[in-house]
Amino acid sequence: MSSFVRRGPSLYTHAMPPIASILLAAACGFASSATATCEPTPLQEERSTHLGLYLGTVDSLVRPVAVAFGPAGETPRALWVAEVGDAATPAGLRALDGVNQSLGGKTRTVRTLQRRGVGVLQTPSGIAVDGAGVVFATDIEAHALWQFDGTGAAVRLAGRGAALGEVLFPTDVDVLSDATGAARMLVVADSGNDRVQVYDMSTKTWSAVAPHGLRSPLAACFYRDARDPKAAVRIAACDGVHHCIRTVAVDGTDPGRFSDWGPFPSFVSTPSGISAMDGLLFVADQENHRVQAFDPNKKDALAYRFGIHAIRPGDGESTLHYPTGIAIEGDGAVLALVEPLDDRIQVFGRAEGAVPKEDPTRAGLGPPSAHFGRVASASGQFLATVSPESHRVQIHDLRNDRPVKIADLFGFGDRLGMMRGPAGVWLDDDGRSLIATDSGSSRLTRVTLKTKPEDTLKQQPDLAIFEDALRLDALDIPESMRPQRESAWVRTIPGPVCALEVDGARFIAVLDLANNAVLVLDDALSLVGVLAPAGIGTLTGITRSSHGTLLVGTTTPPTDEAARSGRVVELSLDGKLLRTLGVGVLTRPLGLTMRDRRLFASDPTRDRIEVFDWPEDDAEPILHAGGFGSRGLGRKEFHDPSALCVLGDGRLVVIDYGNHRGQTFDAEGNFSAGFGSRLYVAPLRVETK
Amino acid sequence: MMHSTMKEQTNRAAPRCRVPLTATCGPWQIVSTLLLVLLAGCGGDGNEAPEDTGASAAPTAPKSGPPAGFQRATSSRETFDFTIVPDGGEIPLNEPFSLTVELFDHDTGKPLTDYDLATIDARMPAHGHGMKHDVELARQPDGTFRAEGLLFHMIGHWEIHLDVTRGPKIERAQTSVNLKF
Repeated sequence: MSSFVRRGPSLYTHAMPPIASILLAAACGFASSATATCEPTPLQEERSTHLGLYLGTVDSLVRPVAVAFGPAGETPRALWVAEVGDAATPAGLRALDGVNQSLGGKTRTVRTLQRRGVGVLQTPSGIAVDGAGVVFATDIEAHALWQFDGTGAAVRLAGRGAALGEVLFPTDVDVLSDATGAARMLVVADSGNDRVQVYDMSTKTWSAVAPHGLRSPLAACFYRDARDPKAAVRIAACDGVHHCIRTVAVDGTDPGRFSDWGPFPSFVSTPSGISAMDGLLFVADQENHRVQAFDPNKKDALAYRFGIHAIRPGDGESTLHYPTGIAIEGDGAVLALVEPLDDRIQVFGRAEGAVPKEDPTRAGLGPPSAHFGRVASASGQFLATVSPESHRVQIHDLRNDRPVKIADLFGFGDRLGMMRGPAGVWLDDDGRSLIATDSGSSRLTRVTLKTKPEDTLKQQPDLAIFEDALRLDALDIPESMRPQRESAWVRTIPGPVCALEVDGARFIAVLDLANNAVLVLDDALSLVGVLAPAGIGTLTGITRSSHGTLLVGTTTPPTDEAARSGRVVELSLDGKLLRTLGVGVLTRPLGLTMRDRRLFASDPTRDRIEVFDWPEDDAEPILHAGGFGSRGLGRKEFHDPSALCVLGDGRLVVIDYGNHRGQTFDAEGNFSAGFGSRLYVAPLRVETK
Repeated sequence: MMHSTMKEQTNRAAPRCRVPLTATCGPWQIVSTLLLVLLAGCGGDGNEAPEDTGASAAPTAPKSGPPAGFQRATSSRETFDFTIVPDGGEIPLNEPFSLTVELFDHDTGKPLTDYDLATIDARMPAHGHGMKHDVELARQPDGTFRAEGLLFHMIGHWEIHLDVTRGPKIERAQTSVNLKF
């Protein structure tokens, strides 16, 4: 029989930076074994090869984020996949047959054996399967851990909160099975609470394990030293803020750490999935686009790595593109790697020969050329974007026909002027003022840009003066300001931000993603209000209107009666819900921008931009003026369109996130230009229709 | 031979012209502040690019003025000021050095007391890096601070950042140094 091994992934939420994935594999890793002692099998002893040989690709998935090997009905070693879904396909789990060493061919759509969690899960983020076929899944949007038995019956093991046994933005789950294959213990990456939690299935008790310094774990797994069969089971967790791997005994003792943030071999950038095999920890190194295998018992922990960054759209066959979840089959013969943006899983087997040596010609390479993150803002002559790889805010000069990057702001760290996870940007005051939010440090930072419109266009490395900052999770929010809800108020995790002026006074509005509320600050960075209308749903984006109000994108989960739906709500600064628009049109509005009386809203799950016109008379309804976009690489085609900005001359900028580029359109909606440093821009230069 | 040129720099974009010190400051501080305000150009843009102004404080400081290498800056929200004086009057190139730092309440000019944490750091914005290690800001019995072991390992424009944390808020004052051969 098989055992499990799992893992999973991560998932990105639309507004937060990659709170991504997860993973891992089961307990002792290997095999079936049936016992937790994990004796090496003859196969393992004979095996002198390494994982990394490309076997094939499973495609036609719908935003897969996590994977795990385990039984599904009569099939002992199915590949379970957690899919976020899209506007037409609900979120859920499904078991695939045929993902093994015989997976020939470059791509293959394999057979679906079973589905679970459909109608229960909102946004799955991690998955694990025990040896008996019981499936466990985390839900990052509903803040829950679920158990699905062989009949599909669902039991919620943990819900939203910060107390023991509660989770906040859980990103991963792993299972340790006993000799019968039944789950003995679970480990959950509880990212919003900066800890991992262990659930004892027999006693139904929880314990928190927080290795010193652990922040926002993106993945976790059980592992054991393969050279010592009597070694105690340990836990490995991917630290999403410090970008390293932390290890600890199940009882919380003997903490360890290896790796650090960076592009070079043995470093990681947003480690989003982890799985154990043969005493090695395999890490899906998301923003370095590779898998690295580490020996946690060695000072120089990197054993080997495989996968290189995909450059062209659709590149595969061991070239990787933002890999998140990872799972290794119980006998260690097959490794599955999830790439959500490409809706696929690449499958790797054992390669012959010695473990590959590091290629010295690649060891000194820097990070890949910049991608665009999901947030952006424009004002005056500047456009501000976020670089996921470098964790910096990039300033582009707009005085050419295409944006030209002139400065990188912030750096990776904790000091004022540094960031752990850029989550929102807002440019204002003709490009002189920048506000940025950092989910990793729960911080809002204000920056003055030394704008000089009369200067020639050139690099300006000293463009920014960092003024001040506010620790949002240290704000003393009085009980009277907090919304009356059943769910507990928890530590603030900031997301997108905007600023506005009302009656001559300046305010800043920040999405609190952990509490689904809008925090309103005055110019002294003092909290003046918390906006959280009842039933507002999950917050996704924010901008200001042209008339002194806030426009907030929200989404509600699917129900038995209705699919997932999105909308934009208009709020006054005193918290009144003024209008709701986009119902029946939007699914998950993320990017919002308004100029004059026209609102543009991006809908990544539908690859569209929708347009709404405000009436001159407030008594009249808001008009849905239409929209444009579909999935693709051509003009007016997108892959997860995210941030939107309207420039001073009326052009609309669309950050085409999944295609790693931007597109601009004139005021009439005609394609104007594409920009970005990657080959994904090339298709825009020719007519595609 | 290298030397450092320095100028007062604040975080505020708006021009200012004022002498924020009170009688609690020593007379050399008042004189030096007046001098630096004049050198910076009263009413000018305090955030100008860090070109060499030739305002080398060290060799031109009058006997009755501040110590050589003295610099003063006001924080972004104008709640505190800081002064620094490098040991020996100059910031050397690629050699460890120490600073004496004083913090003042901007409105009263009295030593700053209402803060939770004060830190010092230095960075080269044009290069995207800072010093090779962190430096602590240690409070002395007389109320001043000492920062020891700073090392500017390259020529060029360095920014010195003084960050003060009060509750959830962090506020910065900064000045700059242009190191030359």
